[in-house]
Amino acid sequence: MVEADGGLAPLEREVLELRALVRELSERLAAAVAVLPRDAALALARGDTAEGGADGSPFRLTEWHETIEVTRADIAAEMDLLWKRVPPRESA
Amino acid sequence: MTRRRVTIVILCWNRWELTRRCLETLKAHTDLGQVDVLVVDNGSADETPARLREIPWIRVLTNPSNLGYVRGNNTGIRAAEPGNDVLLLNNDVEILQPGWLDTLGDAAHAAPDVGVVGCRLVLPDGRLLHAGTFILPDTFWGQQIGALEADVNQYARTRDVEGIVFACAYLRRELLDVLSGLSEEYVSYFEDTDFCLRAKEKGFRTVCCGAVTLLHREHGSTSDAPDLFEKIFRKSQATFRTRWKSALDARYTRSVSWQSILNFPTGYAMSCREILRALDAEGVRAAYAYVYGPGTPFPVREPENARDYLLNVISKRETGRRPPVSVVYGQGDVFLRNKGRTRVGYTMFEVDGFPAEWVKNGNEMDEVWVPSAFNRDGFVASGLKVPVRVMPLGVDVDHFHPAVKAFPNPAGDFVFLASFEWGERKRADMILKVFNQTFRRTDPVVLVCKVLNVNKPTNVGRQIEALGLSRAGGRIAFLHNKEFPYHQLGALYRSADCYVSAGRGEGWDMPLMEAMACGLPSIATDWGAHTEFVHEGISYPLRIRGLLPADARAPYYKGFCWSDPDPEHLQHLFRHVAEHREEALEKGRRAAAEMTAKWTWGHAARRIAGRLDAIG
Repeated sequence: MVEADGGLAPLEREVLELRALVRELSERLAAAVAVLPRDAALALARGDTAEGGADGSPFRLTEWHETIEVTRADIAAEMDLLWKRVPPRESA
Repeated sequence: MTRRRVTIVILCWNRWELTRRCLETLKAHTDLGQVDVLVVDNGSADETPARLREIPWIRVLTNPSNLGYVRGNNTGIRAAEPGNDVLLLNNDVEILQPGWLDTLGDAAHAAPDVGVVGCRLVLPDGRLLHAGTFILPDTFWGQQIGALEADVNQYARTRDVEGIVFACAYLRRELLDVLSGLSEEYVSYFEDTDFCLRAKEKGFRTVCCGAVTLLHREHGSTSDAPDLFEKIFRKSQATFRTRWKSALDARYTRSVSWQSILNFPTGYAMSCREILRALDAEGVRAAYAYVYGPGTPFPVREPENARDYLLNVISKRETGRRPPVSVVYGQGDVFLRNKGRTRVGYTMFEVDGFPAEWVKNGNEMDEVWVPSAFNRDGFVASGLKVPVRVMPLGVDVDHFHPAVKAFPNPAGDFVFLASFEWGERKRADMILKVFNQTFRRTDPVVLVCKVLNVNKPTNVGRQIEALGLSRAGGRIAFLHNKEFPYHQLGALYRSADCYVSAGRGEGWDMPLMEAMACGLPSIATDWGAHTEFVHEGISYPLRIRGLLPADARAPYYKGFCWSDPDPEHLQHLFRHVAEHREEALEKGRRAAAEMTAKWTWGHAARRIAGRLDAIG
């Protein structure tokens, strides 16, 4: 916990900088993925690496934020995010 | 059917840009051969008169000065062809859809007693502005139904309403022959509600046709002059109050004190809100009081603001120290806080009996209500001696229906949806495991779980990972601790293809009912209170293997049983639904029709009102 008189302003600045950085990295990632072949992009999204394929490996939660705080959300934005979070289907 | 000709009356005063947009969109979406377009210029001083003269397909009527909204529109109504219906259209309205006028005309002529037809109005930012109006004799402040909700196509059907705003008002000639026009006792404001109430006095209904949506920019002619607005508004309000107070008071034919919970995100609170709204529409003057708080099992004070005008008014009404009839709607452990001379306890429970304390308290009531025969039998078996009546709950078919906007999965996968609070009762573990084992990652099928967990020691993510699900199995995505505004929830259901409720027991299961009202096929455990409204014709009942002791944290479950849903049958149903989509769709369609025909909050309120008549 940071006391209000203990200098919140630098932390707020840092948060803003980090958010801008995350945005920039997301945009760069999206641009890079966009030019990859589909299979390679899917493999990256699955997190497949040299250590093994998907089959038989344990289920991992992606983008899970464990919290007991209930967030009020807008359905349109949340559904858009949800469909992006769905693990991609693999070809048979 | 021969369509009656319509005169569209558009009143304008300056602000040519608004009028131009109104006329352009009107021309783009209207068969001009069917209509007379009459623009009443209320003495504009800008370019409006010159521009109007350049448009060959309109007739212009020029008033020498600004006569105000009411007299300006009456000029147009009087100038319309005597046999025509009249449609009043504000010049700050834009037409969005072809066929709009035919649809309004069809609604107007659907029955001989329809006199006034309004429509949905949306704001430029996409929020709903209007789906009808109501006015309460407590405050005489007109309210627009649905105002400022995000538009997900709620209120899509044609419904009876008390009033509509006259930004778009289709008026049948038969009614105009009786009422002639708007009351000139008003300069502006309240004249539309006044007209609808006068129509009702003459035997004509007002309806809001949800199949038509227009854009309303709400640039009223007094919006830039707040002092003028205040003056005109107050004067009109006083006129309206004098004219209509006794008629609006007489709308309430019964009253009840309603002690419950309203402003928390609980099942009782959400359903309480709907019951109070429906009771008001049914002519029951309810006065609400919070039943929990210090000294009760839920010792938290309730926030005062219900974020809803009607509910705030109902909350401020005096219940009195000893009202004739009071209903406590909540758990049986607060029945004794009932302060009525006739006392009703209204509750529900998820297992096969009721705790001794609830039974003891119930026996102090004059009668007990439960929503299901399942609960009635459980209460009686537990020792309840006073009369117990089945009073089912309902569903809001204006926010939960098959035409609610969907946000479908862009990948085209078939989507199963489950929504639950994390815990023993809902069998999340079974749903996740069985789904994951039933399907492969290569299948075009996804399970979306909306999970709620407010229990601090429980780490849901860790528990899910501990289930040992396989990445090669059926794909699952989560909405964790997201609360959607109630009016948007239908869009969540509509974005899925099948709803899954595989819990051990339910006191009612509102989400299941909402999903069914949205036209979703459902898989639902064949045991519990929801069997009141679920059957094989409209759902896929999930077999149970038998009953088990209700082993959970809730102390009230001790000594009772709940069901053991069959995982093998769930696996079969998952696969069956995914492989028989047409059959499932048909079940969903039948479910939606049955919810509308039998299970709305209006049905619930009529049963309550009938019972209040009998005991009051």
